[in-house]
Amino acid sequence: MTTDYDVLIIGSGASGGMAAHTLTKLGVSCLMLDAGPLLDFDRDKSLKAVYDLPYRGFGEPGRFPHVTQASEFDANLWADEKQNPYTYDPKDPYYWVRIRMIGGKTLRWGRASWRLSDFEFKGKDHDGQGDNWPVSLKDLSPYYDRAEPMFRVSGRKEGWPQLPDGIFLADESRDSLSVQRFLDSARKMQVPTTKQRRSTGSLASSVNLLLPDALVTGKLKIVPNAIVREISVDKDTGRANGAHFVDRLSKRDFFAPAKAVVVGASCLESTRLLLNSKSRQHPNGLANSSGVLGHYLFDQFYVKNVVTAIVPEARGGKAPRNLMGGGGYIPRFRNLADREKNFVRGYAYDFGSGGTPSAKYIPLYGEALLKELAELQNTAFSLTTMGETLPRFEHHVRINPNVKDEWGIPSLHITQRYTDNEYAMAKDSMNVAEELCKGAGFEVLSKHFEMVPPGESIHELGTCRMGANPKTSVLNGFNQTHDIRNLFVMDGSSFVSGGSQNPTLTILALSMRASEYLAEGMRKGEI
Amino acid sequence: MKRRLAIQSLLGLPGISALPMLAQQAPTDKTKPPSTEKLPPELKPAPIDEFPKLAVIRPDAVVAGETNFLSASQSETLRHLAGLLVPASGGRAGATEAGAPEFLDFLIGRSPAPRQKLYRAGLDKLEGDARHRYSKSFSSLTAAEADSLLAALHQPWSQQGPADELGRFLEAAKEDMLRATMNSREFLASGGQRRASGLGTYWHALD
Ligand SMILES: Cc1cc2nc3c(=O)[nH]c(=O)nc-3n(C[C@H](O)[C@H](O)[C@H](O)COP(=O)(O)OP(=O)(O)OC[C@H]3O[C@@H](n4cnc5c(N)ncnc54)[C@H](O)[C@@H]3O)c2cc1C
Repeated sequence: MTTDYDVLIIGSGASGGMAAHTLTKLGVSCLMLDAGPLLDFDRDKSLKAVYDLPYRGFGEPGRFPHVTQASEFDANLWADEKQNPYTYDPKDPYYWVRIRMIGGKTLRWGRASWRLSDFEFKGKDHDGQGDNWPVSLKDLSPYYDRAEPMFRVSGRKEGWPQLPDGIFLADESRDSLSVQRFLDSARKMQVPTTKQRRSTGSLASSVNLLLPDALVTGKLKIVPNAIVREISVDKDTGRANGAHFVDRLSKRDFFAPAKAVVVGASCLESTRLLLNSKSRQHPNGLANSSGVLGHYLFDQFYVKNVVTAIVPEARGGKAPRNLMGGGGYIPRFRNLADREKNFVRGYAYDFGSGGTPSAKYIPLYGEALLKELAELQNTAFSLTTMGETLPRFEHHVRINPNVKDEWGIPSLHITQRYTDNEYAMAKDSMNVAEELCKGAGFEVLSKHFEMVPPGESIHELGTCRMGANPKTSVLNGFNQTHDIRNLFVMDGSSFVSGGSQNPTLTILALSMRASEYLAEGMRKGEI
Repeated sequence: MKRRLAIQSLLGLPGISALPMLAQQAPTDKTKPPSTEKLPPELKPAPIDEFPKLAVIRPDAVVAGETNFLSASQSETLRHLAGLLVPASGGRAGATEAGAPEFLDFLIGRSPAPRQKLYRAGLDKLEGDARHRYSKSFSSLTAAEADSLLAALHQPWSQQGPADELGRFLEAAKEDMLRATMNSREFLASGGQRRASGLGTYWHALD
């Protein structure tokens, strides 16, 4: 039995989930295909002791060479790297982190939710670097205003131009004494600080915040285990008319027809799908007349624990109850007014108080180490840097026809490396973090500026970039492909730049805006 | 078996003629099951619609794992190193009591080749250094003698890590040994509680 749906949505994570939520509320019927299964939150999890796991919490060796976030407890949630291979030049490793399940990566995300500002949307106007987006903060603000309450984002308003305020559940929590000392140190160095802005609740995913409402409209059907291999185009009209997919379990092939197609399979999977959707009319992949599809891959670079310090007064369990705990965020503060450093753009930090520093930072072993670890319990204060990565044409993905996934679909070859600008920023961030900690009277235990490999921040962006000019971009400002009017790409691949803010709130806002545009276009018969 | 035999031997007794009927009862039968109240507790048949959950245990909680990755000499070196890196302390199990060296033999034996090489070469180097400097096996060194070979563990942490292979091995072994110990049943049961007794939410494999 075949039903014709108005819109086919590929992917059920942040972007696909928001598309379904928005479109169905506007009366548009949608079929959603997702490559992965549906989690059953009652059946699929249980409480276990770490010593009851086969590998004592180390995880099966070699199972996830690129997913440093995977633990033995949650290993079954991450996309299997053998079934879903990809390649890179061994000199430039790329860590591609995927979740293939209904809900996508929103099942495990850290929930940090920041708006981008016109320092990103109109970055070129500010410093001449890169390209402007075809949208501004003003265009996106009404959508951020709606996405934040939906995702129950908590935070504190600050009135900063580089980190626009939003509609928050007010975070009025008191800071611990160690955090207060750190904030004072930052104030003296004129470094701004704020509370985290995070989506709250015991689950903050597309599966509980977006898809249930969409299903209630009766306008959405969700098919799990449906791996889309190709988007098809009507030869006569040039319009997208559906997608070919394979059932993950039976490997049976299907075709899903639709009047319009929304791709939200996450940045690199969406790009792979478009590149794999080749035909005589589209020899370089779909929506790629510009030749930039797959190019300008970027993310945010991370220096995890750029500085780890200890709060000396907390040694030996002597901390008063309100000394340790809590944390916060430092937004970009570099290059806002003038070019002030040997790099362009800037970086942010997460900081946190509490916990025991890793044993690797303590140059002891045996009884002495155990004593020192006991002494240092709940004394740690650490910062992680998240910095802007510049999009570059040469950082790209292409299809590797020689390596196919379990379902015979050609995989990606990924090329991205960090360059001098990122290295200079990482080093600066280490020095500033050290000064901030010393200013607070903390003992610095370790400092470094080694960035994690590209991809590991799980903020891959840019490979279907937006732009006003169809010759130099894939999408217009409404996430609509320049080449095919009824084909939209609504995830992070549409970003033109990313700042140092985590991207998901912006993905949600973009997807909501693009979906309203699509629904309106369909209503008027223009799409 | 014991339970069934015991139940059968009671069939002649007054008041329990209902037992054979119980056996014929279909699970959907809504009639009131006959009373078994008078039976001693160990002879009471299980409720007819109960799906029991039996307590089971992992093998390494009851028996030792076989070691078959490292050579006999490497194993001996690792065992001695384990006692030095994470000794039993303050009533808590150490690496030896936690079976950490045997567990690491298994874990490293399953690990990618570079990790295996790091361990094998590191253990051989320790043994070679011990023979060269003290003319005896690493496993017979006193703590003070061994300390002179473990100098890398007294170096402050750096971004680049230790320059030599022995240093890199010792850094890895220190972390692995600590983790294998602290995540063990023995350590957690001996009061060395870490993160709510090591409990976590485990996600089962999906179809
Ligand atoms: C551990 C972790 C922490 C994170 N922390 C943060 C954070 O704090 N803040 C933040 O902003 N972001 C964070 N992120 C990133 C965030 O999760 C992503 O930005 C967001 O989920 C992206 O949404 P998406 O719709 O593009 O992709 P996803 O959420 O990944 O969804 C894509 C979906 O598409 C499906 N799919 C893929 N290929 C196909 C195909 N061929 N056919 C059909 N379906 C397909 C997948 O199964 C998946 O369900 C984090 C991610 C992780 C994993």
